[in-house]
Amino acid sequence: MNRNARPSYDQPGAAETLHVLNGNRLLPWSLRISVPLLLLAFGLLIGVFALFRGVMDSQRRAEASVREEARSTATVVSGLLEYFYLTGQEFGADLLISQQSSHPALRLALVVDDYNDVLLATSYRLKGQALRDTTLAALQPAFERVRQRFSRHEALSADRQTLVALSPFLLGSTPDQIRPSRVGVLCLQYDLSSVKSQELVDRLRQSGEFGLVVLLLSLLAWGYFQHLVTRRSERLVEAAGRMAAGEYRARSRLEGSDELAQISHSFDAMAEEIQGRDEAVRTARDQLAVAKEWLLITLRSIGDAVIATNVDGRIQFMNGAATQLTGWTEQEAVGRTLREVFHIIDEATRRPVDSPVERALAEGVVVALANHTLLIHKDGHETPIADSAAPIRNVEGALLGVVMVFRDATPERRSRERERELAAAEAAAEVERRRAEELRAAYDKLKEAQGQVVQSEKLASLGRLAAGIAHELKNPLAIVLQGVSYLKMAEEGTEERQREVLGMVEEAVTRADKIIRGLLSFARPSSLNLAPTNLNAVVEEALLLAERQFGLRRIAVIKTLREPLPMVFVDAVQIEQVLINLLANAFQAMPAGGQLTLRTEVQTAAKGEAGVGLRTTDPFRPGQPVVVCEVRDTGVGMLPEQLARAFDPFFTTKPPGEGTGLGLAIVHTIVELHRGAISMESEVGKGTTARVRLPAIEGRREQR
Amino acid sequence: MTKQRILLIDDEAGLCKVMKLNLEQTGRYEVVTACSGEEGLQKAKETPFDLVITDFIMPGLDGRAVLKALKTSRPDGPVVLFSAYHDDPGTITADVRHEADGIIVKPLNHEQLLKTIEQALARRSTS
Repeated sequence: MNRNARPSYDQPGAAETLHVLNGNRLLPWSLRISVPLLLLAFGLLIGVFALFRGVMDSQRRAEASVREEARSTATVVSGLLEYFYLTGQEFGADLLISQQSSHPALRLALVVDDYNDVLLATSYRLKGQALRDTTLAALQPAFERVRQRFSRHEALSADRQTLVALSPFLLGSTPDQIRPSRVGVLCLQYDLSSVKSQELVDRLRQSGEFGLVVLLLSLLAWGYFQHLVTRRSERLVEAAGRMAAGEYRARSRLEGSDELAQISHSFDAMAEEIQGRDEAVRTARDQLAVAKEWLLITLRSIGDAVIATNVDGRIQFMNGAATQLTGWTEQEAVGRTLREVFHIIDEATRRPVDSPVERALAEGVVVALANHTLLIHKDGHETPIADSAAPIRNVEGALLGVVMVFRDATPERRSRERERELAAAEAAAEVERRRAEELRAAYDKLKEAQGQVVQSEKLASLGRLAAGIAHELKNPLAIVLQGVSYLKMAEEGTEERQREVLGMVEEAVTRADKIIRGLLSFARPSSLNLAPTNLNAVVEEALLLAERQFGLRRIAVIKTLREPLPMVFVDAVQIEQVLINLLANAFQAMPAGGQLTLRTEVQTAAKGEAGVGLRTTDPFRPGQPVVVCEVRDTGVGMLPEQLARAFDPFFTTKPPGEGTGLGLAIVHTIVELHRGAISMESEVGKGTTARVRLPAIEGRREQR
Repeated sequence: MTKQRILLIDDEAGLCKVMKLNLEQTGRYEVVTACSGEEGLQKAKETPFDLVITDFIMPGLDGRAVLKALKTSRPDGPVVLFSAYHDDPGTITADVRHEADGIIVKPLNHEQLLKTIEQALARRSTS
């Protein structure tokens, strides 16, 4: 419930804390690099220290061992020398010294007498030389000390590279003494450098091997660290980076239970929360935008002018209608006071009228403007307006501004003027109509010419019909011929049969005559006796004739004849023939009785209807008045394929001998000659409707 | 001498009737009539005829179909066609002309009719 209690990630204090905790100011590189670098530096430090310590240690040990060696050798050798000299075996002494060079570190072994002259040496050059002329001259005081004290002495050179061991021994007696008093000194000089360098090499090798092992271990440790920490922390960092860049779907998803995984869980939860909030914010923003857009569109598209102001009376919004009436665009007007944009005056006094907005603001009530107010456009022209202003309040009821709605009152005022304009327009239309009439007359003339072309085409098609006619005529002729042959050869006493054959011959001849007569009227070129005719009268006459001819066997006739009906310009006899044909078909379609409906009406030819168009072959123009006569029966009806051929010559649904198949073909021809149209609708079992459409006489022609 | 049996097929019932009278008057033929191709084929199936005469243009099964059906079931049975068109190759095509045993053109001259019937019957008995 309490949203404020939730942790907030965007407080500045929190961000700072995170930054300090980061602590990466000490290390300029990422953990991935800085951790191994630190390890490496630390390892190097330890290695160098250990090496240094090892070297020092080994140097000391080398010195000690050499010193030991020197001491023991000096003791042994000086003892032997004493023996050799006191027994007079000086060659033994010589041999002994020369053998000393076998020790690798021994650089020099020499023996001096009591006058510090060299008696024996590993280097023969030195034999007989005074000690002060040799490289050991500096050690002469030490020699004296050893001789006087008769004690051994070892000394290390200042650079700790050379060890000198001095050992006294009795050389013999001086000639004036019995007791041997001459003291010789044995000097063994060792060179430590080679021993030391050997030690150093060993130590370095050891250190190197050790270092290599440490390096390998470090690498392993780094790899493990890389796997365990660095990679995962990188994922965390990457997710955080994407998050910061606005990709709120980013998640780190670290597994495990260590601190990094915990951080990751916390981070992902936080990301979830942020994403949720972001989506909520987006949705809310979108909805707000849609609502605002809808409101703006609504305000902009309403026909009345709308101006909204804030509490200071400054304009915040105006729509297109307001722009048209004031002459100010919304951009110009927004921020200005209403007084600047909306100038209104009283029509009668020509004095400015107080803006209703100010009153609405001051009193907080809806204010309507008095009648006869003129709005002055930016360009100066005046528009009579009717308006009202209403305060805008928020949900708490505080006043936010005023909305003013007004409209152009001109249309109401100008209605009379408009009427006059309409009358003028009508007069112009009348002129136009007359012109159209003339055009139509020209068109009719053109159609007459067209009719002649149609007629010649009809003659051509007549030729194509010749084969059909032959077939139709030859059957009755065959009957006649066969009948005559029979009669010629007939035996006596068969009068009854002869009479029957004679009757058949007569019938066949009648049929042939009927076919020929039908054919004549079908092929007859137009010689129509045209006169303005009321179609209703023709319908009545045809019905009378048809009733007389066929009789009304249980057939109910319903007439719906429109009165008055526009006149048609037709040959009444021909049209009567058309209707009689249609009526005959209707009667024959209802052998068991039914209902016959005769209907006349006037229609306006509409575009899209059959036969209506602007081509010369179309019988009607769009908009032309047409008289329609409908003959509807409730008879047996026709199949679609029969209906399609209904107007074809010699097509009949009746048994052979009963119909010529020419009736509807003739009807079609006659209607076409009158520049009309005939159509049929039929459904098996329901009945058939035949519809004849003829052009009505229009306008003045009616009176002619 | 037994009478030859003829089946006459034409949708024009009156013509059938007059022709039957005429042919039977000669005393040589016994004529059975049928008003459509279907009826004719049915009757031909029931009892054999020495000759079939059929109109060419009829609603439903026309002369062509009747001729084909008869020639399929009995190739040696003579069939004579009659039609209003004697020289229209579009109507009576060459194959029909070849298959039929005779063609008579309407209106029917009686002598011509008898001659064609005799010729057709003779062709069958010689073959």
